[in-house]
Amino acid sequence: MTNCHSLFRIGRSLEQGKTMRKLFTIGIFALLTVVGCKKPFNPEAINGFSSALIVEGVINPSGVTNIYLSRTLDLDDKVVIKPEPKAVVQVLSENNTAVTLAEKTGGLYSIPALSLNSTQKYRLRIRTSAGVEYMSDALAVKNTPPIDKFYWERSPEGVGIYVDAQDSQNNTKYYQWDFEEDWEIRSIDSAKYSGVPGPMGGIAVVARDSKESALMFTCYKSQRSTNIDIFSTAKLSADVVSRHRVAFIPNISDKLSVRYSILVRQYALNFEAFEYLSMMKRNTEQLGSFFDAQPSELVGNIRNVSDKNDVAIGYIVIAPVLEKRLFITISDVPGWGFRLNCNTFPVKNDRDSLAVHFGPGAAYTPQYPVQNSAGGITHWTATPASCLDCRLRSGTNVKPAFW
Amino acid sequence: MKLIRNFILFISLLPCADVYAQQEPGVLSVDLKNATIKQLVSDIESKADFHFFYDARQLDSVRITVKIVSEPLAFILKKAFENTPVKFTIDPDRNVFLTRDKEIYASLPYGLFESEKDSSRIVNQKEPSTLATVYNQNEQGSVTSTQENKLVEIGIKTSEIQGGNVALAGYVRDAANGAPVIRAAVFTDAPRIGTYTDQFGYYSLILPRGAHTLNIKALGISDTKRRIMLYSEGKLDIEIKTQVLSLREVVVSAENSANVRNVQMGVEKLSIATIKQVPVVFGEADVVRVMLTLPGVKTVGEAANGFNVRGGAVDQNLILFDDLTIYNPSHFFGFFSAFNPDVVKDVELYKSSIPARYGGRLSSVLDVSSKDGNSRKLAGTAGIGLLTSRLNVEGPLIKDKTSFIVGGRTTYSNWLLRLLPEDSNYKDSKASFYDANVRLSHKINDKNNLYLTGYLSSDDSNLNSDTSYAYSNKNVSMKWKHVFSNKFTGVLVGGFSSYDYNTRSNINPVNAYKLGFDIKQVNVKTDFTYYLSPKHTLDFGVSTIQYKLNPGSFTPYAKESLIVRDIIAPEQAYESAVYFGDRFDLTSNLSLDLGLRYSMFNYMGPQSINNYAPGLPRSEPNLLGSTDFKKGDIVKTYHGPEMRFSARYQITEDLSVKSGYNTLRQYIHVLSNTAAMAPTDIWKLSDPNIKPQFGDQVSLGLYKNFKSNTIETSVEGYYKRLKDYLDYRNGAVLVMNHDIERDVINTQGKAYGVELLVKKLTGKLNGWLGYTYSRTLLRMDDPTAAQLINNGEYYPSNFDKPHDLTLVGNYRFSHRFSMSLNTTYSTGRPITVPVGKYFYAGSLRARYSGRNQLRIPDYFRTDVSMNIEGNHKIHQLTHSSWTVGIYNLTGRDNPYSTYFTSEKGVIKGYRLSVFGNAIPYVNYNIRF
Repeated sequence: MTNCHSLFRIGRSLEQGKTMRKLFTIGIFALLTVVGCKKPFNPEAINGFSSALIVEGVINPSGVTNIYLSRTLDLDDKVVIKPEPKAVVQVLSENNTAVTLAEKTGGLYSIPALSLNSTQKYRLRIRTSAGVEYMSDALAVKNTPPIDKFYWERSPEGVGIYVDAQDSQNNTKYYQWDFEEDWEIRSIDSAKYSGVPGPMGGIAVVARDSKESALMFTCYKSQRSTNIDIFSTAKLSADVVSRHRVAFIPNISDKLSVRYSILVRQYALNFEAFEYLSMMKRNTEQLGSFFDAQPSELVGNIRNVSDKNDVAIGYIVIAPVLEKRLFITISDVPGWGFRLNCNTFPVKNDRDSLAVHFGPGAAYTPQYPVQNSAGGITHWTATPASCLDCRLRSGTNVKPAFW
Repeated sequence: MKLIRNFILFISLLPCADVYAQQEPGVLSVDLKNATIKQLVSDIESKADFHFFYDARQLDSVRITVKIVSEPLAFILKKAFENTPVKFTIDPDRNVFLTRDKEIYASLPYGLFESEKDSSRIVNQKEPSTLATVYNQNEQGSVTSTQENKLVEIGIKTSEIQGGNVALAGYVRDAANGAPVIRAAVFTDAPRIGTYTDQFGYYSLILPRGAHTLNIKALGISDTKRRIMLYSEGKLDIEIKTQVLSLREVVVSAENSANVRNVQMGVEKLSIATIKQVPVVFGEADVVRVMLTLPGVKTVGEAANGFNVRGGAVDQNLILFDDLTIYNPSHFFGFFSAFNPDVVKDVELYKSSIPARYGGRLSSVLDVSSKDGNSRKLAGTAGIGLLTSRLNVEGPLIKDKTSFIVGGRTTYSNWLLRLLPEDSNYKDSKASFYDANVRLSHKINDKNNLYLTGYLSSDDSNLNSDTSYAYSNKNVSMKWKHVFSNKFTGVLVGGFSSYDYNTRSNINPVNAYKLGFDIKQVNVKTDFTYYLSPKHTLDFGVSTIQYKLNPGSFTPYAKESLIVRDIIAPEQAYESAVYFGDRFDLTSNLSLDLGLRYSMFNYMGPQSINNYAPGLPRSEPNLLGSTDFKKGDIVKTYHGPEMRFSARYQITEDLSVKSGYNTLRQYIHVLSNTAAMAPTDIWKLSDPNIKPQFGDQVSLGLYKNFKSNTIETSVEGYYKRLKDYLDYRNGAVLVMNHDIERDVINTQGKAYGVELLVKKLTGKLNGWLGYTYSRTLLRMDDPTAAQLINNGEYYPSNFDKPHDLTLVGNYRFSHRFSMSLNTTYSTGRPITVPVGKYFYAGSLRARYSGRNQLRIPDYFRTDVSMNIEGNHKIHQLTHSSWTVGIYNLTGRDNPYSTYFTSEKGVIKGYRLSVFGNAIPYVNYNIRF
C-alpha cells in the first residue's frame, strides 16, 4: 500500500489541553505532499521482551464495573488479544476491605454494582494466576458530569455524532468517551431459492425455507470504538465541552442503510490519567507526520508489588460511567448513498452452468427464474451471495435487546 | 578595456607570434604629425618586430610630431619623446616599455629573486633598487596596487634599506567592484610571515624592511602576488581580479595550502560560487544544504530544520549573518534555508577550533557574510526557479565611497497550490515566504568604515485552511571599523535580532486560539586586533547580549472563543563575555592559537522561580514554593572560563599536524521533543532550575597536500563531552508549560568520530569526497529525574549516523557548460520502535521500549545538475545562465521517519519519505 498524498495531517483540536505538540503534526505544503511518500515498514520484530499485564476499565462507584485483563503480545503474534484468565481482581478500601469482581469470559472481570464512598480512596488489586500481585495507586472518586446533549448532524462528508457536557463546578476538566454502535442491515431481496446438490453431482435450484430466508434478509452489526477519545477543558475559562464529535459515519457507509444506534459512555479522568492516555494516543494513533513527537514508554498507575519496574499498561480511575443512546433511521438522512454492488447476470438452467455458479461455497445465489413464453425456466439470475445473505456481510441475527 | 589588455600582455609578457619582415635590420623610418602614442606604436610595430607595452591612460594626452629616416629605434624614440613626459626602455627581447615620468630599468636589481637574496647585500646596495616606480598615490597616502609585476615602494624612500621590522597594512579589494576580499591569505615566502584579511578585507603584517613578494590567495580569485620594497611603515591596498563566470575555479578552502598552514582545525569555508554548483532540491541554491556535504555535518533528514555538527544538537550552532544571530535559518519548515544566495558572499563553518571571539553555543559557528554592494557601477541579478524568484540590485551611492546591495526573494507556491485538483485536501492551503536583505557600506575615510545590514525573513503557511503557522526573523546591525594604526584595528558592532512565531486556528470558534512566541536580542560587541610582532597577533574584545523572551502566549482567536488568555511571564537575561587571543608563531614550524573567553550570564527579574526540594525530582509534589524577583533583580548568575587552544606543527611544506582543545558554554536552549527540529520549537534561557550546557572537545588532525597543493587531504579525529544537555521526559509537554523544568532532564552526552576529506581544488574535474565515522551517545544521569530514559544507560541521539560518505564533483566541459554531481550515503538514524503489541480501547496498539533502539534504513541519494552559461560577450545588457538538474536521480525513497499505528484494530508500520521520486528542476538566472 502506498499513499503519496495524504501523509500530512493537521492537529485539529485542542482536546489534549497542554499537549499542543500535536498541533505541530504539520502538513507542510501541497507540492511536497505530491512527492512525499508513505510506505509500509516492517522491521524485524523485536521479540523476547517480557510480557506485561494490561488493565483496562473504569471503576464505576455507582454502577457496573468492567475490568479487562490481558497480556502484551509479540509483534508477530497472530492473535489480537490474549486475555488473562483466572486472576483475582479486587477493589480495596482504605481499611483493606476487599470487594472481588467476578470473572467472565475473555479476561473480563465484572461486578454489577459497587457502592464506593466519595470521601474515601480505593485501590485496585490484581493477583494473576501465576501468583503475581499488582496494586494500583490509591484513587480518589471523581465525579462525572452528565451528558447534556447527545445529537447528530449531517455534513457533506457524512454524519457526525456529538456530545455537549459541562461541569458548573469546574471540577472535571478531563473527559473520556467510548461508544458502542449497532446497526441493522438488509439484503437487497429475500433469498427465495438456493442451489442444492442434485442427482449425479449436479446442482439443482430449489425454493428456500422461509425461516432461512428471513435470517438472510435482516442482520445486525455492532462495533466498539477503536480510538482513545479524550478532551480537556483545562485551557477554557469554563468547564464546557461543546460539540465534541465522538463518532463519524462517512457517506455511503452501511451503518445508515436501515437503522443505526449508538451508545456513548462518558467518564471523568484525572490529570495523570489524561496525560497517560494522551501519550498512549500519541504513540499509537497520531504518529505519521514529520514533526511528531517521538514515541515513548508509558508508565501507568498499577505496579507489580514486588518488582517496581513491572508496570501494568493502563491507567485506572474511579468515576461514574454515564451513558446515552441515540437512534438514526435512514429516513432521517435523505439521500444517503449506501448501495450494495450487486451485478446480476443470467445463468443457463442446465446442470453444468448451475454447478459452476451455484455449487457449494459459490459466490452467487439464484435470485429469480427467467421463463420462456411456455413457462419453462431457461435461466436463473445469479446475484452475488452477499447481496442476498446479510450474514455474509459480517452481520448476525441477534437482535440487540434495546432494538 | 585597452588597459586591461595591456595589463594582461604586460603580466604575461607573451611573445608575439607574428614576425614582420624588416626593411633593414635595426633601422627604420617614421613620419608622424601630431600623432597619438597609439598611432606611433602601431606605425612602428608595423615596420619592425618591436613590441610596445604601455598604459594608454597615462599617455593618452601625449601628441608626437617626428620625421626620421633610417635610424635605430632608440634614436627615433628619443627624438619623438623630447619635451614629453614619456620615458622609454627597450629590452634585449625587443620589448619597448613606455612610461610616464619614470623610467623602467630593463635589468632587475638584487634582492628581487630569492636565489639572489642576501640580506647583507641588500643593505649594502648603493644603487637604488628601484626598478619601477609606477604607482598611483591617492590623497590619503596609501598605495593601490593592481598589477603584479610592478614593484611598489612603500614608506619614506631611503637610499639604504635599514634593518628592523615595520608594519604594512591595507585592504584587499576586488578590482571589479571594490568589494573587500575576506579571509584572503597575505603572506611572504621568505621569511614565512602571513596573515588573513578580516571581514572588511583588511590585513596587517609586520615585515622586515626590504624587498618582498606578497602572495595573495583567496577564495574565488586567481592567486596573485605583489612585489614591494618596504622602506618604512606604510599602507598597501591591493586590488585583485576575481575569476570570471564559470572560468572561476571551484575553490573549497580559503586558500590553497591553507589547510596545512592554518593553525585552526575544522574550519570549512565555501564561496557562494561553489554553493551554487552543488545540486539541491528545486534548484534553490542553499547555503545550509551544501554545508551538509562536509564531513562532520549532518541532518536528521530532508525536512529537518538546521543541522548537527559533530554530534551537537541543532540549537548548539551559532548562526550568524553579518554578526546577527539568526534563530531560524529556514523557510518552509526547513526545506529551504533562509539565506538568499545572491546576497551571500561566503560561508564559514567552525566545527572544531572556535575562535575566542565567538561564544554562546556548544557545537559550531556558521558565519554567513553578505556581499558588499558594487562600489563602481550599478549591477544586479535575477533568478527564476520552480518555487521562488529572486532579485538583487547593487551599486554605488557615492562612487568608491558608499555602496548598497538590496536583495529580495519570494515564493509563488500559492499559485502552485491553487493548481491542485479540487478534491485535494490542500486546495485552500496557503504557503508563502519571503526574505529581504539590505546592506550599505560607507567608507568615511581611510581609517573608518561603516556598514549597515538589515535582514528580514518571513513565513506564513495555512494548510488545509485549518491551522496557520507564521514565523519571522528580523535583524539589523551597524558596524564601525576603525584603524587606529597599521598595527591596531578595532570593530564596534551594535545589533538587534528578533525571531517570533505564531500558530493560529479558528476551525471551531469555541476553541479558536493563537499561540505565540518571540525572542529579541540586542547585542553590542567590540573586537580588536593588535599585530604585536611578526610572531604575535593579539585579538581581544568584549561583548554583551541582552535577551528578552516571551516564552509563550495563548490567546483567543475569535469572539466566541472560550480560550483563556494564558501568558507565560517574559524572561530576560544578559550574556556577557570578554576574550583574549594570541596567534603565536613559536618557530617557523610550530604555531599556537591561544584563546581565553570568560562568559557570564545573568538571569534577570521580574520573575517568579519555583523552588523544589533539593535532591528530589522537580515535580509538583516536591514543589516547596516560589520566589518572586523584581525588575532589575539578578535572579541567577552563571559564569565561567572557556578555553580555546589550537596548535599546528608543520612537518614539511605540505604536511602538518594540528591539535586543539575547546571548552564552551551555552545559556540558551531550544526546547523540542520532535524527531526533527520544528519551526515552532521554542527557546529557553537558563534559569535557576535549568543549568547552562557545557561542552568540551579535543581534536587531532593530519593534513597533507599533493600535486603542488591542488589536492588536499585531511584526517581529523575528535572526542567531545556534553554536560547538562537538555533532553525530555517521556511525553514532555514543552509548549505553554509554566513549569518547564519539570519536563526537562539534564543529560550527559559524548560524541566521537573521525573525518576524512579529499579535496581537489582546481582543474576541469574538481570537488570533494568526505567520509565520517561518528557516534553521538546520550545518558540521563540526573538524580532528580523520576524516570530515566533507558534506565540511565547510554542511548544514541536522534542524529547518530555512524557512517557518512559524500561525494561532490564538478566537471567543466567548457567555459559555458559544466556538470555537477552530489552523492550521499549515510547510516539510517535511530528510531524508537515497538517491541510488542497490546489491545486497549478497541485497538491493537504498539508497545514501545527504550528510546532510539533501532534504525531506519540507510540513506542514499544522488543529484546531478548542469550549469549552462550564456555567451561571454562582455558588452551585452544582461548575462544569463541556466541550471537544470535532477534531485534524487535514482528516485530512492529514503525514509525520513517511521511510525506504527493501529488502523482498524491492526498495527501497521509506515515509513515516510520526503522525496520519494526523482525531482527535476530548472532555474534561470540573469545578471545585469
